[in-house]
Amino acid sequence: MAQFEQGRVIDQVTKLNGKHASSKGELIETVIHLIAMTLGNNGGKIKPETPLFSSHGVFDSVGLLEFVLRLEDTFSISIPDEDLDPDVFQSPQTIVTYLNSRLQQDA
Amino acid sequence: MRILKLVIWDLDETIIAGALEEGDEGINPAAADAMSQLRQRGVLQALATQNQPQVFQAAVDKFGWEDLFVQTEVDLAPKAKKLRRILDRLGVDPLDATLVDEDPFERDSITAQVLGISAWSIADLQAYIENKTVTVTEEGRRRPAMYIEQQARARDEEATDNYLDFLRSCDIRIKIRSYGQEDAERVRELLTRTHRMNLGVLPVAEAIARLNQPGEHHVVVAEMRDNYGDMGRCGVIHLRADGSNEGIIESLAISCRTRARGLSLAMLAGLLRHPRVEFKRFRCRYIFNGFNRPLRLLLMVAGFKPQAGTDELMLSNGQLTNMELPDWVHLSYGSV
Repeated sequence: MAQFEQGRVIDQVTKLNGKHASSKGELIETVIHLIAMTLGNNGGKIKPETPLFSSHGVFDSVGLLEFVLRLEDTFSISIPDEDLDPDVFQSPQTIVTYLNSRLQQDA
Repeated sequence: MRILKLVIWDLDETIIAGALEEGDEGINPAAADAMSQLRQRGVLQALATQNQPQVFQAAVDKFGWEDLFVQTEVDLAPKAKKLRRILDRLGVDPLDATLVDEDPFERDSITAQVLGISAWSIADLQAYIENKTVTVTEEGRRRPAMYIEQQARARDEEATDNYLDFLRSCDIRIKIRSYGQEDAERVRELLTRTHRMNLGVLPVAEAIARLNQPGEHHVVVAEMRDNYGDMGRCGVIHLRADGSNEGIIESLAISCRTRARGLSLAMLAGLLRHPRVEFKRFRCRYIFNGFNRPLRLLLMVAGFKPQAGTDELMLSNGQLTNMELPDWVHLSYGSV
């Protein structure tokens, strides 16, 4: 799905949807990949349970905005303000839980 | 045009009465006057030209423009591309910027290509300046210098291998203190000029009017500086007590100067942790205004949770107390 060049992720897949990333494993891989793209690295240190915005978390609010836009674009969904909940965006794993529910709703 | 933050000048036949490469070196007096007034008001000025770099540099040296333009694009690229690079580099929204060019074709061409930007003649700019009286704050006067300091920060950041080590080396200091009357103009500026990190629930005039209300109102401002310079007053929060336990955030604005990782969060936490602010929980409304989603995400990062069925967000003091802040930011509290 992605290749790495000089530490930068070159994305070859710009659009995914529930059909392409339907299993939990594929979803977590895709979410970590999107985080890595936002950070401009290969995502090697990001695990499903990695906190995304503790004091040493991977995102600040600007990075998080970019990541949310990538999520919306990749999964062709719109994330409403009421879903911008710290519990939802705590880690890649909690995001996958949220995406599963959204993709099932939209199916 | 929302608010004029940036003027991007054309050079030949606009600032210069003629063309530099053809040997013309006279400055258009109307342009010189406008440039001087913009500088006094702290409006950023940039320049886009297709002149050769060495010809342009000779003009910079001759006219003493070293500190005037915070960004210059001097190459053969199309003008629209140069303008986009300037806007991107300075982080200015096209709605807050204008090209000044005496060529009407160029003006129409740019407004068709760069969505939201204005394009004025020098006479248009003069009319705007004459009709728009402003009070210039210390931060406003220093604005061009701050952007130049920001460019030095960005250069050093790019040159470092470890971003966090770089942030720690900056000696970033945020001082939180109560609002005083002398802050009124700067707070007005923050509430008016800040778009991305602005709660914006109240109209600015009403938000200003409420600042000096007696009773259980707390207005707190944040000042920031680092090794590169003094960024002045960058954040403000207005809290109103609702009963003894709850603080309602009426206004909140944090300048885009806090873009480095963790700074906006540290500033928000610092404002809410001011010693005079002793609430068990904080509540605010959030209304999307087309620009302020970064603030919504900052509130989420700080732990504010949406309240079902409303446009309100809530944060408990326990979460605020437990929030761990970046170790590269030094917070302190002081009086006015």
